[in-house]
Amino acid sequence: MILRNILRFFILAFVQGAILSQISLPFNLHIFLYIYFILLLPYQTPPWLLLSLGFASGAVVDILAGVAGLFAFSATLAAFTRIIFIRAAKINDLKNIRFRHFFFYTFWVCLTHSAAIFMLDAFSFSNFGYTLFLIISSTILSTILIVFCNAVFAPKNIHETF
Amino acid sequence: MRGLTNFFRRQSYIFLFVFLEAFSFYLIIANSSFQGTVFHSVIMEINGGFFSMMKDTRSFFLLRSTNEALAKENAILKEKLASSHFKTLHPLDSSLYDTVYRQMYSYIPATVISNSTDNRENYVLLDAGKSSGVERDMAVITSNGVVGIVKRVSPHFATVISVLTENNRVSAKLSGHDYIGAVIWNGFRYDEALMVDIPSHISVHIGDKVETSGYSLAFPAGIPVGTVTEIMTDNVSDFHKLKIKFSQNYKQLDKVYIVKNIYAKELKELRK
Repeated sequence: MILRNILRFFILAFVQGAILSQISLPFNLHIFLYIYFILLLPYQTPPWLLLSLGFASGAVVDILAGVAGLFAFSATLAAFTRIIFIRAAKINDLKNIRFRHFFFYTFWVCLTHSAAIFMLDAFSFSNFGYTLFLIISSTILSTILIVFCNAVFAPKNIHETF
Repeated sequence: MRGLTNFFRRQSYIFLFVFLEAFSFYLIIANSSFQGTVFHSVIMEINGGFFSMMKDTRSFFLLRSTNEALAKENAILKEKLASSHFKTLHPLDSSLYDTVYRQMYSYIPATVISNSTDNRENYVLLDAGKSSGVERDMAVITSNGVVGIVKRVSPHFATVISVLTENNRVSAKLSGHDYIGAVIWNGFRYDEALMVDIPSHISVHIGDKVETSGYSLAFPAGIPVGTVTEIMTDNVSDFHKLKIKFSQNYKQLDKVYIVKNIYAKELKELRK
């Protein structure tokens, strides 16, 4: 279980740093896949560990992207969103989560994550429309990719019923 | 009171959250003003090691086009050699190649190992660092155009703030005129920028070449920047507003030159 998560951590960080951050999509779109690691951590993980692991995964992507703090900040926020969402939606098992729940779970975590990334990257409210466009587009793209990955690699985890 | 302590005990992760966020925020802020600290140096060495490994695999497939580009550049440079020129008796012409001219710039070759074009602040990572004589604030160019300014240097790598940085200004002029303007990147497309501050009485045509002015300490004069693709000047304005297309394709950066201005220190002293 622990080994699996560690392995997933390194694979996702590598894919993010070596592939997804390197390819350029039209309109400067971005895909953030590595937060899939935070999403899939076991339900029992205590909050302090979730936050620390979120920070650690962000820091690794930071190093691969050659920046300091940007991804660490956003990934910690993503982990925090995960904690809040699981409490608010009263989800009590990640293994047998409904598709609808998983979708919104992914969506909210992606949204806070990309909002943090692009607002910090711009660091001003000039061209805010453009920042907003980047946030929304990358949230949608990342959500779709993560839900897709989940359907391919872990189909048993999710009940198809809504 | 007990309710309060219980609350904090149960929600204690919020303190951790605030602490981690504050720490990352500090890193972001510090990143924009720090220079050459040990921390960054270490990160750059790890990052550089990783990407030079990736680059080695990738560059193998690009050898052909790289060779062609270098051969072309060699041909241009050969034209400039003394042996390619015949001596003339005209005093004005001969002075161009006179020893009175002193060397002002020297060039350090480097290879791009990672490069971004999609962000609002883009960075280029080069495989030359302190050990090759690279220093902060040196200009980086290719045979096709300008690339940026060196920001941080570690023993074996250097990061460059790309020309593709929102609101970044490069002092430039239209070739053939002496009026100085500025090229500004607006943050959207990797191949487009705006040129401003050229007085509107100058006639500009689509296709005019834009080059560096040489007024900055870093860039030598006459390095190509791009060509004018659209004239967006309105009738009331005193200055032209021109859309230009960069002459260098920033998605295909590979071999670059770091420009060392031999008199940089002296010039900087004067400008203080």
